[in-house]
Amino acid sequence: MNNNQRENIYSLKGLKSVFSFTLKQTFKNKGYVFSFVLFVLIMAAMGPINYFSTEQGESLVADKLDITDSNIEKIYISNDTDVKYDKEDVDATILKGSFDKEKGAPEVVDIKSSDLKSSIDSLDKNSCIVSIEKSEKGFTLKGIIGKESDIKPSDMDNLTSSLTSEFENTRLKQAGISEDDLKLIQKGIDKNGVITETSYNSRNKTGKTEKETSTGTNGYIMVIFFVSIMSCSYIISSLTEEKQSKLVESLLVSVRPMALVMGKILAMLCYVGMILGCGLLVSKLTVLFMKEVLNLNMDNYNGVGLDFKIFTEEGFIGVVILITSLLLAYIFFAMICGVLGSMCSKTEDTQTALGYVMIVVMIGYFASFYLSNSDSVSLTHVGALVPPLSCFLAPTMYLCKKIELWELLISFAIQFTAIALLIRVCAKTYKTFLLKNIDKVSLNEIVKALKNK
Amino acid sequence: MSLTVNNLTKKYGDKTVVDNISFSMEKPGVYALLGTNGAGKTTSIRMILGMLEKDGGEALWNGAPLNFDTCNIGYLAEERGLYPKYSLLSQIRYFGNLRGIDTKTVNERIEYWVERLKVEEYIFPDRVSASDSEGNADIKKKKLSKKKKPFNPEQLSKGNQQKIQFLIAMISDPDLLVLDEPFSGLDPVNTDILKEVVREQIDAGKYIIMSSHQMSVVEEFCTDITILNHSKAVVTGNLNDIKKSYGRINLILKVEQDVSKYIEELGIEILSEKEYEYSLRVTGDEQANKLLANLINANINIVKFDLSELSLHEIFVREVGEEVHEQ
Repeated sequence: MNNNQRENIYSLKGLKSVFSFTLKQTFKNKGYVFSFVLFVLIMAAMGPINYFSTEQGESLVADKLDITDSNIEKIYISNDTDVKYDKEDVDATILKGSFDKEKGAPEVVDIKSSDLKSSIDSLDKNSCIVSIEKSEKGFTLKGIIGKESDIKPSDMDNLTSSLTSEFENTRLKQAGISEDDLKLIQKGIDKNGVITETSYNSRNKTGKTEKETSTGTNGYIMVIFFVSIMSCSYIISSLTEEKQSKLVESLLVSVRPMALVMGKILAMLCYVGMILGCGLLVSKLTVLFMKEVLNLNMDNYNGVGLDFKIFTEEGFIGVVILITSLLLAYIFFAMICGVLGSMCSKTEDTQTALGYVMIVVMIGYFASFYLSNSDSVSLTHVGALVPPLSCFLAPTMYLCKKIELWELLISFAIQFTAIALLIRVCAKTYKTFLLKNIDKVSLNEIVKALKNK
Repeated sequence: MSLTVNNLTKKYGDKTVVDNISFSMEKPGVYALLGTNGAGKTTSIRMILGMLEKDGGEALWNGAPLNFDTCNIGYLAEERGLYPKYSLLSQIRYFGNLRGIDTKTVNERIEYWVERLKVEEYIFPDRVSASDSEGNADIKKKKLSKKKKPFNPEQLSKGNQQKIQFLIAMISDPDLLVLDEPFSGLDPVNTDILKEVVREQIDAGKYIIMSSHQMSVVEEFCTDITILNHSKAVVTGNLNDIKKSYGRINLILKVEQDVSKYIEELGIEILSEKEYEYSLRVTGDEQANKLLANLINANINIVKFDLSELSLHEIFVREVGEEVHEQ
């Protein structure tokens, strides 16, 4: 009787212990904790950063008034229109802007249009007049200074430009236009001239604007990119830990290689998942704080697509797609790391292995960015089906209605098959290379291991 | 319980690194796997324990393929290591958990072994520092207020790391204990501690496979041996039987005058001589008796006449044809 049966190299006995030990040690490691905090803070800061970099430009104060170094001490306002715009409004504009705090804000005085002529004649060196008139051509806002005035023309330009914007906003508000409509008026019309049938149909089907879908898609691509980059280096270095510390043999009488790999990969998944979860939560809290406490309009700044809004808006099915696609993408890249990491026994090897993984991730990342904005139907379909591109593209392409549900399911099935294949390869290579030091990390060595040479 | 190894073979490409090795252990005790460096000992152990794929043969425990599912194995590998940055206690518990031992039992075993191996101060530094300062309230208070950080392996000497690794091997209370060079790197005090533990394990009915270059240690514990040379087993069997098969050919003779004439007369090989104490190689009992008779007839005072079997060291050197330096 030959009892030399082949061992089940896929046995996961001991997985739970490897998982909990790796996770515990991860959170005891200062480097990992620092990365955790850093990534959470970055995610939390995305909303505010985006708000302060874009919202300011869209605020109703088009040009911020700055008269800090000017000699303007007194401003006369002559308003010969039906629009109520007087000393009070000009004072508010000055207080919102910048001026010399020591000297104080310039004094603002209302004058009647009938007194304008006499006021011009009596203007001193540090006074100016702002005259608003209505004519057939429209409204005119002029700045007037005296002959011997110390006020520079550029300061007057700055003043009149700010007051013009303010006057315009006040005029439109008094005409019954809401703040939201005002914003739209200021933004003007997006002249996105020619669009393809696909984009047009996608926009009609999803009810989302091009900007919304591209923010969601790019945000998801970025999340996959960050997750892959971050977890790959952790997984590879984690897999070489036993070889470097010469512990492999002691471990192999307690646990099978596959359980060791999967335990580490799952621990890293948990770590990365916690970063994403905490980041998302803190990001939401930051936005809530800015909205409720600081009274800022944060409706469009929930994290620049990193908040998975494109998925959550779809309800339960969107969340299911998000979780499934995140898991598949993570495990796909993690298993590539598993295969390459199994060959590493030195720090130099981990660098080489990480380099290979980075190439795959980078190709996926840049190609996905290109394809997500491409109008080529065939390329989009190929990208949504073929890993590693599908890891970045498939779910958002479905949510943007660029592919159908059955295509998304096929994409998931392909990713699942690729993962199963990688697990087989990983189990073999890890078992082979655990007790063997090779000269360099290469595809050739993997092939040899698979052939049992 | 029984361990059977049949025709174990391993090849790397065209090179056979372990060639048809067979042995068995029908009862508890220590089996020695000996050989020169690169003879195939560690590869054999790895195949026996199921961590390396076999190209031929089998290793059975109670008739079933030997692996950690069928046998409770404790293994002290030749290439020793611990996670350098993790606390010792967490590592020991981890290995215990991997074996599926509940936390309570793991903790009880840790308590027993840290005391037995005298490594308590590294595993429980707080406990030791507290007991050190008993009777001195101020120092005690000071020490307790500043909690000692748990030790990491990199803070330990090589010998102490080895004791922790031995503790890890023992944490599952194994039925089969495989010790690859267990005493190398240990000082005499720690060697004695470990020897005592090995004796206890033998008395407790454990099966032990030991690989060592320290022949005196192997001889002290082993009942059966296999000597490997260039991937093949050159000697296998019971140590006493093997020794008997070589006959009693070592003779130590101490006299009070020069007797080399009598020795040379009989064609006996002199291995060494120092102040009329001769180390001789005889062909057997008959030649030794003849020499003794000749010396008595010549009225030579004999201080010592010790005829013995070959030592394991001598058998080893004889079989592998190379000098082995005891470590």
